[in-house]
Amino acid sequence: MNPDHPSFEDLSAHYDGEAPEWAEHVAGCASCTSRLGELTTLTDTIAQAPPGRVPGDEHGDPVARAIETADTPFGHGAGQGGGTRSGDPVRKGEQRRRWVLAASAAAVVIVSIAIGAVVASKGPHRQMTRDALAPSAPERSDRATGGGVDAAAVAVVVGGELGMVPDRAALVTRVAADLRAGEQRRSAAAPDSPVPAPPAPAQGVVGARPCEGEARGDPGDRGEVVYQATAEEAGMSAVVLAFRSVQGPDSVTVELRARSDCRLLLQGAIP
Amino acid sequence: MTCAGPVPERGAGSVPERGSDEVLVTAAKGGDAVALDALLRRHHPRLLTLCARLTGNPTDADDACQETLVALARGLDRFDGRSSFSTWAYRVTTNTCLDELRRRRRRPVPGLLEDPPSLPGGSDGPDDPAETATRRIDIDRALGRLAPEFRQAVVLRDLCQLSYAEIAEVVDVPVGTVRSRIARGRALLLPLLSGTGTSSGNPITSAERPRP
Repeated sequence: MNPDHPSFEDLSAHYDGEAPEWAEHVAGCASCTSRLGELTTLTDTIAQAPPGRVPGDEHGDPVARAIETADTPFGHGAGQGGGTRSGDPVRKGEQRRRWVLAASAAAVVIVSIAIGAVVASKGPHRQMTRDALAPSAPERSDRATGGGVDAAAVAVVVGGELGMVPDRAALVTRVAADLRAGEQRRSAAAPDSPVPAPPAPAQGVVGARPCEGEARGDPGDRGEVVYQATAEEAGMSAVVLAFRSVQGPDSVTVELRARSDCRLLLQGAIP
Repeated sequence: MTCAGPVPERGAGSVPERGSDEVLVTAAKGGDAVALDALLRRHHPRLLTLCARLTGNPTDADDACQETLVALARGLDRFDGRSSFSTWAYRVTTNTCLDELRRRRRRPVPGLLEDPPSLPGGSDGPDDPAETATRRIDIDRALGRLAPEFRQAVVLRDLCQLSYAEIAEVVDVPVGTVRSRIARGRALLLPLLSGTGTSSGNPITSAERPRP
C-alpha cells in the first residue's frame, strides 16, 4: 500500500474510476475514505438535482422553431431571404417572438410530412423515414391532454414526458388514463369507423422503441406496444412501455426501464 | 433528470440499428425533415439540462439551447461522423454556453451569489418541492462561482456522466487537462456546497489543492 495520500486530483480521478492505482491505499485509509464520501455527496447532488424547466413549455416547440430558423433544406422560414445565417448571433426577444409565431406553422408542416410518410409508405425511403421516427415518438407528446397518438403507429399512444414516477400504482394509473384518452381521441377522429386493429408486432417494428428489444428479451408475454413515454426515476431518465397481451386474457403490462441500460425499474398491469 | 442518455456504442463494421442516431443523421442529411426533427427532439431534453447547468439561469439556458438546436440543424451537413452525434452535440452545446457566459459577463446579473449556498439536508426529503428548488438554486449558484472551464468539466462528468476521454473529445483538450479541471472544480464546490465558501460574486479561477 502506498503510504502517501493521493492528491485531491488523484482521489478525484480514482473516484471516477480513472486512477485505479490508488484503490488499495484508499480502501485502507480512513481519511481518504472520508474524503471520498464527500465527493460522493457532491457528485450525487449535482447529478440528481432536477432541471428547473420542462422543455418547450413557454415558447412553443423549440425543435420546430430551430428547424424553421435554421434555413436548411428542411426549414423554409425565418432564415430565408436575408434572415439569420450560420454564425450570426440569435437575436433574443424579437427572434423568440418570431419563433413562437413560426412554431405553429412548422408543427403543421412536420406533422403533415409524418402522416404522409406513413400513409404512402411503400418505397424504401419512406419506410426508412417511418422507422427512423419511431424512437423519438415519446417526446412527440400532446402535453395539453397528457397523451397523444403516435402518427407513425396509430395504435400506439404516446404519453410524452411523465416526470417523476412516485410508485407503481401511480405509473399504472397514469398509463391507463393516457390509454383511455388515446382511445377516445381515435374514436373522435373516426366516429363511424371501427377502431383499427393494433398493428401486429411486425419485424420492422420490434425493437424500434427505446428498450423495447430488451423488454422482449425478458421472460413474460409481451404483445404489441400500445404505449410509450419517458419519465424520471430516482434522478435517472427512464422509458415507459406498455404491451398488450396477445396470448392470454386481455391485459396490458406497464414497464418502467432505465434509459441508460434498460434495466427494469417498475412493472405493473392494467387488467 | 441527468443529461446522460443512451449514447449508442457500436463496434467497427456493425450495422446501425434502426432508429439510431446514425440512421437519423443519414436520413436528415438526405433531406428527411422528419428524421431531423426526430434527431433533435431526442437530444433536446439532455442538451437543455446541460445548458441549464452551464449557464445557471433558465432564461439563458433556453436561449443557449435554442442556438444549439439551430447550429446542429445548420451544421449537420458538415458533421462527418468521426465522433458520435452525441459528442458533437455536446461540443456545440458547451461552446454555445461558453459564448453565452462571455456575453453575460458584459452585463450585470442581479441577485446572483448574494448568499453563500449550503448543502441540502435536514428537510422533508427529495420530494419536498421547496427543498428541491432550494437545492437547484444552491447548485446553480455554486457552479456559477466556477470559472467556465471548470464548470464545463464538472458538469460533463457529474451530470452527463461522460468519461474523461469523452470530455476531452467534447472540449478538445488533453485528458490530463480534463482530470485537472474536474478535480479543481470539485475542490472548489465542496466548501461552497457545505456553506463555508465566501460570498463574493467573483468567479473562482484557481484553487489550493486540498489535502485528503
